[in-house]
Amino acid sequence: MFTQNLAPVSLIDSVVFGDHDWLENSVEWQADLRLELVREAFAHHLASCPQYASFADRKGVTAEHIQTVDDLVRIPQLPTSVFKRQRVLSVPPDEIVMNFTSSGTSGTKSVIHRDGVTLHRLCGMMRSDSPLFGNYLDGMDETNSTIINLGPSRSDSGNVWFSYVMSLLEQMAPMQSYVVGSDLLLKEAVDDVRRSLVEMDKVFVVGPPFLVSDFCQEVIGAGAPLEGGDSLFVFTGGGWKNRESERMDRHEFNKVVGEALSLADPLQIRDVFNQVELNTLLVECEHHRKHVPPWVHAFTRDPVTFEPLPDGEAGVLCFSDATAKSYPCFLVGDDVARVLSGVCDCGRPGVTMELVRRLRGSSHAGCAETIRSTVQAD
Amino acid sequence: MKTERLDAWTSEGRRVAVWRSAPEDFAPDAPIVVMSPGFARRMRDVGSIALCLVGNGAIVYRFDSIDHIGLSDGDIRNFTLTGMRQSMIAAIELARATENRRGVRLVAMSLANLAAYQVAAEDKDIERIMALSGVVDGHRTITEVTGRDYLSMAREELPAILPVMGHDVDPVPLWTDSRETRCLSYERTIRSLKAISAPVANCVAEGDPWVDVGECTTAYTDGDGGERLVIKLPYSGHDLGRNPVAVMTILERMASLAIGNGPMHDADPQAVLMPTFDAVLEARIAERQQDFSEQRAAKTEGSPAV
Repeated sequence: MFTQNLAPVSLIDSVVFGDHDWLENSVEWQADLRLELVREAFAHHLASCPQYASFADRKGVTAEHIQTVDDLVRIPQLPTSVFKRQRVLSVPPDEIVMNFTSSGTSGTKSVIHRDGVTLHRLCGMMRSDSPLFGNYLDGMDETNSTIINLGPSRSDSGNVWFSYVMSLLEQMAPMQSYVVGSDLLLKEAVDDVRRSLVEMDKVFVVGPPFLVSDFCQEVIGAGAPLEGGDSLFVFTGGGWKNRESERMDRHEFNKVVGEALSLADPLQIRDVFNQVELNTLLVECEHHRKHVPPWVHAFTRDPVTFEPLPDGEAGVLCFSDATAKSYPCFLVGDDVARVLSGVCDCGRPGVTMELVRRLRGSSHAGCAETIRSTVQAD
Repeated sequence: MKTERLDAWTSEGRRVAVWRSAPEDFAPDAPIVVMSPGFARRMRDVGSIALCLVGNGAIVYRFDSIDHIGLSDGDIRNFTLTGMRQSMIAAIELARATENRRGVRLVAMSLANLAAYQVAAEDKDIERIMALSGVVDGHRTITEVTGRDYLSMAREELPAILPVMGHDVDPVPLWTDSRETRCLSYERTIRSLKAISAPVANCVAEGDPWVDVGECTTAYTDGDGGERLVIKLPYSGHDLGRNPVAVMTILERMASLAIGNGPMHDADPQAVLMPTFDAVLEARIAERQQDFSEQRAAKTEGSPAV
C-alpha cells in the first residue's frame, strides 16, 4: 500500500474558491486576511518579476517592510501606463494564456499578460454563490437562468478585456451575445428577453450602461411593454465612455431602466467595476457601493503629493490585487474614488469603493470604449 | 475533443446515456477509460477530466446512471447503488463492443467508487481503477451526508422523502438495495478489493467530511489484492471540482495514473499534457449545451430522462 501527497493549495486559492463567506467576518478579520494575501503576492512578484523587483528596490521596499495592515500602502505601485510600454511578467512567457488589452482611445493600449492560474481565479469569483455578488445572484443556476449579453461572444471578443470578462458570465448560465461583428442586434436581443421571461425564472441583461440604455429605447420604441417584474436583472459595467454626454446619474438610470423594463425593484440593477489591469470584479451591493474582497487592497492617494489619503477622502484610486499571478497587480489607477472601511449600509462589513469620476487627462478610457466605437445599433 | 452520444442498455433493458469522447487520431492501443460521476453529478460535470484524458490519447466513455439525474432512464428519487453498478457494466460493455477490445480502465467519483470496485471484483479485464474522493464505506458516508443513520432503521421508520445533496430521494429503494446486496457496507468493499488484482488508486482530500483518508488507507491495507495507492490532497471539502486550480493539479496526477501502464506509484505527472484554460471553459459550455439539447430531445420523444 502506497501513499503520496499532493502540494497544498495556496491561501489565496482557498479564499477565492472556498465556500467561506468573508462578508460574515469583521472588518478587522478581513484586514488581517488582506495583509496576509497581499503580502504573499508582493513576495511572489518581487521574486518572479525582475522589472518589479528593481522598481521596488529603487523605492527601498522589501517584503519584510510589510508587517501590518497600515504597511500595505508602502507596496510600490505601478502607473497603468507601464503596461502600455513594457511587457511586465511574473511567470515564464510560455505560461501566458492570453494577452488582454484595454481599448485606449488615444495612444498605445495597455497589454496585460494573464496565465491560467490568474484567469482561473477570476473565473472562480464568477459563481452565483460567491460572496462577491452579495445576494444578487441568489437562486440563479444554469437550468433556470439565461444571460443576454449586449456585447460580443467570448470567441468574438478577441483580446478586449471588458468583453471577455462579460462573456465569462456564461459559465454561470447559458448566454446569447448580441454584438456580432460591428452590429448590436437590439431587436433580436429584446425578442430573446421576451421569450426568455416566459421560459426561465431569471433573465440577466448584461452590458455597458450606454448599450443598456439603447436596449431600453428599443423596448420603448417597440411599443409593446416588457414585463420584467422580479425575473429580469440588469448588470452593467464599463461606464459611458465617449457617450459621456448621454450619461445619466445612477438614480435617473435606474428610473429609466426600471420603467422601460417594468422591473419590480431598482435593486435588480447592479453595476460592476473592473479595468484591464485589475483581476477582480468589484460588484455593487443594494446600496450601490462596490465591495472590495479581502484579496484586494484598495485605497486613495492625494493627486498632488501622492500620499495615501484617510478613509473616505476622494483621491486617485489605487489597488493591490493578490489574485494576479502572472503580473504585479499593484496599480495606481485612472479614477478618482472614495474608499471606506466599516459596515456598509447593506449590513456587510468590509471595504467599499465609490467612484467619483475618471482622472482628467487619462488616455485610458476603458474597454467599454471598444464596444462603443465598433457597435452601430441596427 | 470530439464527443458523440451513444446508448447502452442494462441487462433489464433500461437505457444508459453514454458520451464517447476521443482524440481525432488515436493509437490502436489507446487506453479505454470508462468514467462515472458521483451521486448528484452528471457526466458533463466531469468534462474537464475527460478533456485531459482525451488530450493524452485516451478514449473516454462517460455515463449518467439510471435512476439518477442526467440523460439516462429513471429519476434520482429511486436511486440505488445497484442501478449505478448496472449502468457502469452497460457502459463498459458498450465500450468493448465499440472499440473491439476487452481492456478497460475505470475512473470513478465519490459514491461511484463502490460500484467500480464491485464491477472490477468480477471483471478481470478491468486494467486499473482511479477514484477521486472515492467512497469506501458507503454506509458511513451516507450517514454523514444525510445526518442520520437511515440505513440501520426499520423500514417503517424511514421518511417518505429524504433530501440528499439538493435532491429528493425515496429512501426505500436505497435501503432495500443496501439490505439485499450489502453494496454500501465496508465489508463488501474489502471483499471486492481483495478480489481485484488490478492497481487501484484514490485521491482523497484530508479535509473531506464524507470520506476519511484513514478509512481509505485501512481499506487498502485490508483489501490488498494488488497495488493500492492513496493520494492525499491537502484540501478541504468533498466536491473538489469547485477549485479549478486544485483540479488542475489533481487532473495531472489522475491522468498520469489513468493512461499509464507501469506501477501507479511510479506514474509521472510531468508527462501529462494539460488542457488550456480556454479549452476547459469551452468544453464546459459546449457540453452544457449538448446536455440541454439532449434533454429537450428526450422530452419531445416522451422519454423519462430528466
